[in-house]
Amino acid sequence: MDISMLYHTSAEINNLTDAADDLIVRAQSGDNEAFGLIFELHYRFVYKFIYAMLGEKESAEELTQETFLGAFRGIKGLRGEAHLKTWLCGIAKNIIYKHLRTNRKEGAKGADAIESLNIFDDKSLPPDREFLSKELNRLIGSALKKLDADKRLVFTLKELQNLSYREISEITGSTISKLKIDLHRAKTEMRILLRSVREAKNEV
Amino acid sequence: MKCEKYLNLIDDLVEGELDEQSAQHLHLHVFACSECASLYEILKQEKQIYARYLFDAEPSDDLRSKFQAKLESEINNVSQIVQKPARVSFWRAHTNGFWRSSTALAGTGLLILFGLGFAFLNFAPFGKIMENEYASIAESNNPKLVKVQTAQSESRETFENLSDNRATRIGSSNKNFVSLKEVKNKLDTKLLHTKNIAPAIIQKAEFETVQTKKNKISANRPKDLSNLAQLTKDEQMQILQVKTLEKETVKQIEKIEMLLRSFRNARSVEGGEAFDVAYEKQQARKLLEKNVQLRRGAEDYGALYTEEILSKAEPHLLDIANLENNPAPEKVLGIKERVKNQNIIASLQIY
Repeated sequence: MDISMLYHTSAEINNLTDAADDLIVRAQSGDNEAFGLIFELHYRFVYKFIYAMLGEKESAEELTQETFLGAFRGIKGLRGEAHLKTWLCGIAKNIIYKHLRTNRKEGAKGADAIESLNIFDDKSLPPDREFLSKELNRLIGSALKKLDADKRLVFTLKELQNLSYREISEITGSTISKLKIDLHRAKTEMRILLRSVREAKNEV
Repeated sequence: MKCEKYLNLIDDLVEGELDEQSAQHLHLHVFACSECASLYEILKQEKQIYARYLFDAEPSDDLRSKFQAKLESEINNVSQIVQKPARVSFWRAHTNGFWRSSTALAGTGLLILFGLGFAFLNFAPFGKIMENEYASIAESNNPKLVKVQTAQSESRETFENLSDNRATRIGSSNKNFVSLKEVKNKLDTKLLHTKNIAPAIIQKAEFETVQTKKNKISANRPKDLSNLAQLTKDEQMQILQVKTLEKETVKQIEKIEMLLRSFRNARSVEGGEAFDVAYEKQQARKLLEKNVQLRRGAEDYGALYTEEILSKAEPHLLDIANLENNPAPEKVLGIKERVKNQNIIASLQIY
């Protein structure tokens, strides 16, 4: 009984993946409804990715639309091996980087100096539960802006969006060990930034 | 710090990047070591805090409708400027059409083949005897071929009156392929001999057999085809069966195509060297069984093209079905390479 149920679920999973492949094939052959479904399935994820990278709602929405337009134009070139979600994120990433290059005025470079690999510095460990609120999110958002783009990218995809290293390396094209190092640095910087923000707040 | 070798692993554990076995192993250590345990807890909490960050970051409700409007204007723009997709589908439709139907085309193909064959032979460095013989054959065959063609078109006209149009086309195209293929094969061997300048005697002997066969074909063909209008029930049944066979084959080919695609894209299991191809393997077995059935059917009805494409795909299915449960990566890669090199997916698509 149990075993037959297992088979059932695996068959269903196969159906689901078949359906996803089918969606791509349909969209590639010019079925706009299928592309609409792809948008429906993924636009939230892409939006959140861009929002985390830019920290602005409006431009995040703008770039989300741009991403899916790019996907629409390029879907014929999508090979089966590329996962749809990572493919979309790859497009989004390029658009984000382009956007960041053209809007470089913000002095987000200040955080570059802070680099430490020592995660056993107890003082740099993350803030405790009192921060679990919208206020905390605001702080995280402002700290995120201070990371440089590469680290923010890994941090966003891994910590905020819970992708695997493999998926992220599909998006960025870098090796998993590089991603690990970047993430490590990003986390350390975030801890320092959050702590300094908190301290500054306490002083006021 | 005595637990240094675990530090990276704890990171990976928090990130959910460890396989089950190492995760269990590490858990044992973390439970035993208070320092590692507190580090693990802190890292986990930190991750939870970050994970909540995007919880409420939702796009506004009108994003969807905005994008829809953008997409529509994009589609309109594209269709006004270029019509590339139309070209692609035209090509596909054309190739499909070629194989499926068009008796006239097949007839012309037959003529061209003969023409080419004889043209080549005329230029070949051979004795005059051979030349003369070929010439006489060409003369004697051409009127017959014209006859075949007229008979074909006649029979097609009458056949259109029958309720099932498609059966005609498939039936007659398959028959044409039989003759086409036979003739082509003979000519090919002929040409090969010519190139090798084989002894004239063998040439002559073979030539005579070909000649008799050709005569036979051209003698039988008009009779066969002109009688199509008054088909016996058996023949009608056969055409129906060929038709269903073709339909099944199209389905089968589609499935094989999907399988090969998914196999080509199979990736290694997370963290490990082995490939996860269990699903493909299972599918390949099923498809293989069906493939053998269909191929035999195609042989029986003389649907040569169908048979050819099926037997082309078969070794790949066999390869995949014969993989072990946890195949060595080299084996999987080997098959992938073969699938790639022989362009099997592309040829299946054309079918």
